Amino acid sequence: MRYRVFLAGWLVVVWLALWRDLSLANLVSGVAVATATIFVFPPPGDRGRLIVRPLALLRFFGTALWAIVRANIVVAWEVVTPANQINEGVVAVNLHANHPTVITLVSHAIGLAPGTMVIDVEDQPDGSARMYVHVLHLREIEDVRREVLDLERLALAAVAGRATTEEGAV
Amino acid sequence: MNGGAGMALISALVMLLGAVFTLLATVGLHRFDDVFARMHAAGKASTLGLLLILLGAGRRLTEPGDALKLGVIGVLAVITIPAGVHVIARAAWLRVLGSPRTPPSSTYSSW
Amino acid sequence: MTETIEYLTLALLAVAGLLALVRVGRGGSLPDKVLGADTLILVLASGVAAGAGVTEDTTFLDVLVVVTLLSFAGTITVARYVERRGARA
Repeated sequence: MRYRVFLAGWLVVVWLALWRDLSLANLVSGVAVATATIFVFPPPGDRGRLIVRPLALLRFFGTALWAIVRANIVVAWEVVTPANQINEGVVAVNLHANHPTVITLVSHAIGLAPGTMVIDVEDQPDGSARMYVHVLHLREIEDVRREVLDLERLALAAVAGRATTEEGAV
Repeated sequence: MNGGAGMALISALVMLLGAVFTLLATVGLHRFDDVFARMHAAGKASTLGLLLILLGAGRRLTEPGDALKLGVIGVLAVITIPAGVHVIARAAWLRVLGSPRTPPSSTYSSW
Repeated sequence: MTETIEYLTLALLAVAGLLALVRVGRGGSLPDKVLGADTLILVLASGVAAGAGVTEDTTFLDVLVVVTLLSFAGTITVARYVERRGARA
């Protein structure tokens, strides 16, 4: 339920931004429209299992924003210098969660982080998810796996309310 | 007034930094030979370039509604750009490399 | 001084757009071209935002929202086409 309130709040912010006029009338109409939208078109995959923790979510977004700043320093260095340190490779990581929202959050964070990008996510027969990550400067495979699992831990703490990773946690 | 001119200068410098990163993104499109390396450069650098330009323009515009609109555009950009890059990467991996799956943690040479 | 910096910003964005356009025309395979087109539209959106910041004219900010969403939809459409039908353009 808190997840739907969070999404409705985001819709209210978009409504206010598009009207450009932060008045009380716009706020009231925005809340009405957002509530109606969320309950007529419920977000997919939400069967009441997602819990939004605002502090953990802020921490996740902060990590993602800092990751994109680091990524661009790496990209700028790579583009400007003539020598190539590129050693591309694909690393398979076994995730613990298989809820679509958590996987989406982790994929976005990986897409913004330096040198990594998600190529594919596969559902394994036992229900867990396997993520294939393309790495630009591949040194140690276990380092990549640790980075992805750290991001997954942050994402799980943000929307699933669990800091530990158990099999089929979400 | 001096404060206004200083604020305009800071906004212009932030926007210039954003334009530099966007230019680095497109230079990266040409510098790398491999489509995945190009995706790394273009996706990440153009996102930060757009965010910096939005930040610089937001300091300049005085209405709070306008700054909120730029903020919403920034959030939409951060959500949609990595998703678009991932979808292109998946299509390139499944189709252009020939075989659907290569063994994990293998390195490959560009085609 | 501020004006020079602003003109330099817009000039750099113009060069970036040109480079992206060349990649769309020259690219080695269809995903290269899709990536170039996506980057081109992003440079366009950055240019509109920079123009709004320079001239303090907020008429075109709605264009930015629509352009961001449409580029996302278009990129996904073409990428799914490539998945189904192959990358030889």
